[in-house]
Amino acid sequence: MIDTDVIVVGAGHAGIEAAFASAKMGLQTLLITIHLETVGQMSCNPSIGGTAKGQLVREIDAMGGAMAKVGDRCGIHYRLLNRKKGPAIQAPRAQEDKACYRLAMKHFLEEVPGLVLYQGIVTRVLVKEGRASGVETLEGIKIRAGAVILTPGTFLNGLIHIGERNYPSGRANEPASIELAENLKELGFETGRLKTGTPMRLHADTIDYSKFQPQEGDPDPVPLSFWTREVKNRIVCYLGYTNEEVHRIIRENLHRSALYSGRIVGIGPRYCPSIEDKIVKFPHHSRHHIFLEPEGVETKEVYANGLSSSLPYEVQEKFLRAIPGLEDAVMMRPGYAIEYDFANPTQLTHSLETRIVENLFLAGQINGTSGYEEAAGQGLLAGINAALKLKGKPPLILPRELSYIGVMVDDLVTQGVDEPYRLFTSRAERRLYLRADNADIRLTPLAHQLGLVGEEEYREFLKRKERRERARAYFFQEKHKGIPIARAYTSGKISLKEAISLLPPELRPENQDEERFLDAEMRYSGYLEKEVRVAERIKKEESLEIPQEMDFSTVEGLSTELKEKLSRYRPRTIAEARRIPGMTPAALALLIGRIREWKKRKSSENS
Amino acid sequence: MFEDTIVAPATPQGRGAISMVRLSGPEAFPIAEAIFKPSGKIATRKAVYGKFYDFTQGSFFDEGIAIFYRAPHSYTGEDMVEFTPHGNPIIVWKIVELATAKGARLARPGEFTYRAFLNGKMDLVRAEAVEELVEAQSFEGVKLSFSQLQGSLSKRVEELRERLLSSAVLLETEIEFPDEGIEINRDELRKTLRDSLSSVRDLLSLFETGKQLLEGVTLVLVGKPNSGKSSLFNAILEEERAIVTEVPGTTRDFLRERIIIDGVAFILIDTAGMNPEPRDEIEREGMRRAELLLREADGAILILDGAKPLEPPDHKLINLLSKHNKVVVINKTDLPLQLEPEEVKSLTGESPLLISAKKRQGLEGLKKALKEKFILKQPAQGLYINSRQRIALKRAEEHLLRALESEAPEIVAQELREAILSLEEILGKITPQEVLDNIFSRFCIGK
Repeated sequence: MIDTDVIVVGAGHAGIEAAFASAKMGLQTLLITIHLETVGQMSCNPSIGGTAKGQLVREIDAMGGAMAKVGDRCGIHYRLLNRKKGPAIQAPRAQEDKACYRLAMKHFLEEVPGLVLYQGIVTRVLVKEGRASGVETLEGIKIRAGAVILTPGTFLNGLIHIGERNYPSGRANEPASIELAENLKELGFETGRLKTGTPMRLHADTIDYSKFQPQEGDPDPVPLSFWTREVKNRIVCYLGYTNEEVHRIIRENLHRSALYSGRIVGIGPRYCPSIEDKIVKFPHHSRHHIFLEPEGVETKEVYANGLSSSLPYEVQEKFLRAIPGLEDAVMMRPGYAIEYDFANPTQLTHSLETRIVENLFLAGQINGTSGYEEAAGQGLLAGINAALKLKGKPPLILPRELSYIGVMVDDLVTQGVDEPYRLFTSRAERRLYLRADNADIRLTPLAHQLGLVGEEEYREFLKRKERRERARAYFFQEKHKGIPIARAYTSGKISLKEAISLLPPELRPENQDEERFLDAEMRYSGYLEKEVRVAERIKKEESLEIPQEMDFSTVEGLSTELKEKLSRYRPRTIAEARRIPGMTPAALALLIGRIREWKKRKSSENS
Repeated sequence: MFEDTIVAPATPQGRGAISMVRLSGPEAFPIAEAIFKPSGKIATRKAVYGKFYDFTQGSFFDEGIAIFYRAPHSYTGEDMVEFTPHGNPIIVWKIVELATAKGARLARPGEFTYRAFLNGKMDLVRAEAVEELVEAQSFEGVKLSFSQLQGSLSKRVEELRERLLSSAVLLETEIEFPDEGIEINRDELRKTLRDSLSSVRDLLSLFETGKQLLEGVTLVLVGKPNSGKSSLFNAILEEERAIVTEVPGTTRDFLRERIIIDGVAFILIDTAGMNPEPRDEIEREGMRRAELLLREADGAILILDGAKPLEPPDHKLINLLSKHNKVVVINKTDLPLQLEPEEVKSLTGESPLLISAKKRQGLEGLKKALKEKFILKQPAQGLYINSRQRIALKRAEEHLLRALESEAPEIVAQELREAILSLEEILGKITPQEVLDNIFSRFCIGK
């Protein structure tokens, strides 16, 4: 008996998007979480977006995902990063009211037809004939399903460290998922340990804000979602600094930190280091940033961004005393480090299905990533592909050339992970094209086809799209003082505002994103054309078909390992062959050459 | 990296004192031991004497030296064996045949070096230098390609790449971490870009001179029938190679010979039989082929018969060569001069050299004229670039120019990335993770 179509284990940022996508595509979906009060909990910082992440959130939104919409419902401080730089690297970011986000997200999911939320601890994935067939919970309840998506995050064999102490936990005061981690190893997954950390939370009334610089939100805040019309700033963040005294205290107590005493084996993220890490690795820096970020409107908890630490409670307290403005700060929760299991993502296909157990999908930190947005992007793709698989349809594979989600997934499954993976704009070859302002044009039509974007939203999108594209065409075709408007703008003869004022009223941008789109399309036009050409050439080469009767074992110069993999996966095209883990550019070039030779030989044999 | 073992003769076909056969790959040792029976214990990287054994017939057929190399300490980076039997192609091919019978595969051209490259023993520039060293046409060319093999160009390109990578890292840090307040100094960035651009242009200027040192200067000898082309050709070579007769059009095949002038090889092509007024299909074909040669050559030597006034065929040839780099020779000065050197000069734009091929007069003057006309001034840098490297450098130049034209960090970063990729293409490496790795080793990123 099949109880449901898709089971999603874990209701963090990955699990939410996975369950939401699967249910929206018409499948009965069960979302199981250890604690129903913490659906969509932001375990670490209270913000969504940022460089590369902001573009990623837009992509999730363009594909009908939940993150940006709920994020805008609870956003309390908005900034467009890199505002003074070009549109390709501008990225929206919002500070969230954490409690609001959690509640709004739970409610959002509860209203989705076909989606059931359930509280339980999954201990085992049920596998029948190499295929996932359901899960078993701690109570011994067996739930059958056609596909299972695991998004356990730091709960997977989680171990919290504070100073000399450590204890199993998935997040402060929540139980870890130990049996499931064991079960994955039994199923044959190669797993490893990673580490992350979070700073202390301080009581707002005990902070002397006069010692900090206020960081206001943007006067004209940009929403996370394409479908949000207006958002407001409701709080102010603050910037301050550590000093030599703080560093001295930390240095003297390094032996007591979980990280530097050797008690932590997992590898932590380089871009989000703990304060002790920063002091050890950059001894010549006399100060480091601290950002104070309120965790919500109706709470006094303040997130001390930059002070992530695994030092004992009393050391954390001691170094806080040395920070101007935090002399009397009261900690409501101490900072801590957490180690957890991950499964190397080279064990996945580009659809995020595992190569070991069919119909089993993994998303989020279990794949070695860090960040809410990275998790959500993978969750969305895993949800879509679980649904497609059960519908008997080919998987959705997002190419690198089309999206940051594609860049991330391709990096993960082809390169694997040896430290927590974070998305950066510099990872994308087509950074000038993969922008926040055009994510909907890139992805919404696809999402609509899949059933992820409803008709009403789609009509709204089409209007936005048409307005932008007609305005762009107008800029390139119509002239201002004898030269095309686009050229007049890019050569600095007129400003963007002036260019826009030349548009017929019905083509004028209705928000900042539409303005940025036009700005980008004009500024980068030379590059965008070139990128289209490069993409076409790659496409042509990638679509080179591999003859099904070709015997890979006779391809000279390939390693036995690759020959075996090729024979096993039987890729149909070069594009598919490229996705085989361990496939190198040199091997691929060799393969292309051999296929061409093979085809030539065949055609001469036939004639 | 490679799972199969390859075998091939390493010395040219033909008979000689000794030849060499090479084996490379995981099975090189067992295969070699089936063919070669050493007189003592095999020590790696030491010459060992032994006998070559035909295991199909159970008999020995030659004796010689073998050297065993254990991976990674070999040319290819794999297990390798070099056999030195006596220089008879029958022996060489027997060894190859026996090796293939034991599972080795005949190597494709250049495959040993290709493996050395893929196994990280040398970068692409050095791998190419191996080929160029083997093909060099003069001793100066040999020295040049050896310097390249030692890494002269690789080092320059690597330094250039490092410099650009540093700028890219700074720029990417500014882009990726806006909260950190890192702003890169634009003047310094522009200076790096400008310096790099001039380094790239420096390298680009090495193409013509390097090509000349390595490949030599190809010159076509052009003249109407009986103008004394072949005599001059022979006189320059100072040996009788072509049949010199009074009958026009005796030699229809083109002869090529090489002379060295000041360390540069000149490849001279005698177009004997070339008739600007062809009388039959054979001569028409000869003319077509001569014109084709001219298109690919670096220049020509135009030979005029000094014993006759200028005739229509001479005018045709002067026209044909109007756009070519050339030296003009008036031959047969041992006979009474029938044409006016001043007229020749006004027609061809070149001061004609007076030569008697028959009497070997004026040849030194010709060599001097060839040197002045064709030998490029060599920059004493001990490096050069080949066509592939030139294309990549041209692309790098273009991207650097565009990076200098823009103020927008994302555009400069894009151009920098492309420029770096072009340089990496020269070395044959691609390292996408490196920028990020660099960011993290140099900066303290907190957010």
